[in-house]
Amino acid sequence: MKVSRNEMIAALSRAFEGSGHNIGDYEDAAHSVTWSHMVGLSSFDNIEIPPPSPKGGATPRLVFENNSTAIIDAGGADVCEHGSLAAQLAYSKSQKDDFAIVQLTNCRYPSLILYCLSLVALRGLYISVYWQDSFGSHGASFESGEAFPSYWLVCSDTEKMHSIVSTITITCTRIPSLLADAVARQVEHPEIERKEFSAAQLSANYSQSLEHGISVSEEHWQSLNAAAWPILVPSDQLSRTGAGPG
Amino acid sequence: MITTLSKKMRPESEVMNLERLGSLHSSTLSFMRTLVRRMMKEEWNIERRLFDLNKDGYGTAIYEIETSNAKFSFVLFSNHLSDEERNDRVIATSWDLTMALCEGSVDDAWLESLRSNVPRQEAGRVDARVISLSRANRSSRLFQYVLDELCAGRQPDVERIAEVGYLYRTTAVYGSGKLGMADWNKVQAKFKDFNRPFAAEMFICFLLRQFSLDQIDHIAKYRSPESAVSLNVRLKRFFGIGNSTGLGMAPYLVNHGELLSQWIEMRETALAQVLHKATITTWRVGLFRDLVQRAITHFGESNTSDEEQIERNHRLIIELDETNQWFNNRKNKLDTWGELSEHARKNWSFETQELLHSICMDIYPEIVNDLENNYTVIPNVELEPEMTTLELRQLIEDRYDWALAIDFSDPTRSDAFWYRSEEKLEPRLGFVGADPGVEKQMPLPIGRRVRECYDTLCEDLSREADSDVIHFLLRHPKLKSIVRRIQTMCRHKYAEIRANLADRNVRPMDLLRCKLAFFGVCKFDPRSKLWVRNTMYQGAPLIDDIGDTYDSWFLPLKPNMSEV
Repeated sequence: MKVSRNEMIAALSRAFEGSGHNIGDYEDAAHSVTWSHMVGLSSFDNIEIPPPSPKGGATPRLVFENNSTAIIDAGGADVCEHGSLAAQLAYSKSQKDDFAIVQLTNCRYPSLILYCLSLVALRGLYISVYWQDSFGSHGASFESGEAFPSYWLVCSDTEKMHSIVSTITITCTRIPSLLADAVARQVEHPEIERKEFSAAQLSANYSQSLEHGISVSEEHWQSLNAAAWPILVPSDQLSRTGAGPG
Repeated sequence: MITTLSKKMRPESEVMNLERLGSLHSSTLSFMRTLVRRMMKEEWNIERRLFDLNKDGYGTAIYEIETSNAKFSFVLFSNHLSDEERNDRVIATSWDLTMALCEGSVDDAWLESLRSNVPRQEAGRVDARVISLSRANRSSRLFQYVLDELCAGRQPDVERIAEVGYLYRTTAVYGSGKLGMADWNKVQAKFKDFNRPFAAEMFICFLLRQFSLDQIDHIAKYRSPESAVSLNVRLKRFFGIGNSTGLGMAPYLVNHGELLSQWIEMRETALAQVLHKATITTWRVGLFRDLVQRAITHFGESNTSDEEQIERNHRLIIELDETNQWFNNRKNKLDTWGELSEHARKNWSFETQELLHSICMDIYPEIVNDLENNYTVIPNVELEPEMTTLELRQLIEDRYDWALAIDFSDPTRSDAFWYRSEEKLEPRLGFVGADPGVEKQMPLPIGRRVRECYDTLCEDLSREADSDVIHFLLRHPKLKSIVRRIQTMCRHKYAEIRANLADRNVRPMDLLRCKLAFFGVCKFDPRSKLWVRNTMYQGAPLIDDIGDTYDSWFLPLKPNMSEV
């Protein structure tokens, strides 16, 4: 079935709220998952429904920090809990020091970080990001001012990645030459079998989803909507009067 | 020049007062007015492609719309509905009319798909080729009367029409991706004709009005082929479309704060231009006074059973008379319209003040109307991570002083809550101790959330005096959303609606009225503090008028049928 962007954001928001997430986190989750799904990374199909509860609402642990580097331990939480803060920390540091590296360790659904980084790239930064998960090794790079990254995946041929949590490494700068080596190196190794998606492809996927609607499995969609039940109040005659005409 | 004008605009503390927002009237920049101007100026071609109705008016109708940019189809299904089933609430499941505005032409296969889904509204699904969806119920007070009169070969009595104002009343209008429809981002980018806020939703109501007039002529002709007459065209123009609006609009305004801010800023920009820069001539003063006189008649013709609205209309009419006296005393001389505005602010009600502002804007279309293209905003909720916590505290103290002044420990200031019902997710208002569900409330009371943020911020500053927003949020991640909102809204000239939505005496009606005024409705008829009936498009041109000159339909009046 097809759903609209607006519907998906609203339904995800309710589902993550229903599983106990705070407002900022369910806002981030809803936008991140929808954006990733629309650009073709199929995040919606892969997320657990109903979403897992937040990891205890623990403060993200700033394990290490200096002027241009920081490590945040997400404690096994979804990216929606700490991803946007990690991205904003990288932004803030690169504003002060031109270059920043921020790592977010022990986080679930690492690919969802791309939406948070998209917002930062739009503000005028060059970004590279890397992570590994059970699918393999992933990387993406954003040009300054661009909403969509170039993304690549090297599939894992072994099952060495069993962990459901990943470490995301974000490199962020105002000076493009500082990222050039990292980007160029990818091109110089043709023997590595990569699945590559250009920024133009991701942008086209996004536009296509907007034009025709977003394809989702009906069953998964129904499960998502059912996950909102904890935030809905049972209706009776008294509550009906709380909305207007009886 | 821009800076100077900006300084002359009314302050946020005055404009964003909810009681004032709840006293706004439609204006030349209201969305229905701008849509009709566009239709008339660009001469949209609207044709009935299919009018397959039986003698009782049940069946299918398709109107095709051709603009200079694209083609659209308005598809409507008319079905029998018993009086017992007729219900204006969101929770209703069947309606007299259901309809969809679609891109392009609708072929047979698509029509059947629409027929299977549109009449079911929220229980159905459509696709991204559908732009807007709506439904409507007959006015039980007026429809049968008008039909009987036409069948008997008589025109209906204008006094009876004025009591209601419409043949059908829409109970919900959907767009922006609901139920599988085209997302707003698509509509805005792809359909230039509907790239202003709510333009497609306003257009579907315009065509509903047209159908209601076409249908009643059709039924009368079938029932009494020998004696029936068509509805007089001046009466047709006086028919609007009814609207019934409940709480659902209130969360929208809070959740789309940047959009509301833009609407307010454009309105205030227009107003400041007229109040402080417009040249005053005898002719303009004459136009103004004509509209004041027209307003006195218009509000005299407005019907409502709501005691408060009756009193407000009564006082409005008295104060409009005083406006006339004010002009007489000055022999129609004034240097700027700002003098009148200032006098109104000191002496008259919010209703009167805001109506006079709408009239001021109406008589300077050449100054005001270009702003209609600036009502759209691309939401940009953005954190400023490098802002210091001291700066954030100052920002809250400067722009949210109204929120900090509320004592949320007083139960009367915090025991109202907004929640979503299991029934179609309908937004409802409850009160602690009387209604269940406080633990599931929506985070609408922005003032209370700002207060919580401020308290935590002050405490944090006592330990971390030299910190920034991103590190504050790493220590207090639960505040991520409200800090983003504060920083985002403070980039706007008019930020938040200054009201405590958790207050026991909260008036949702003011929120509804504010949004409806931007839409351009008239004849506000509150049915409680939670919902309101009103009229859309009363006095507006008909599709047959497109291509001709047309009269202003601001403050519509009963037509004088003795002149016919």
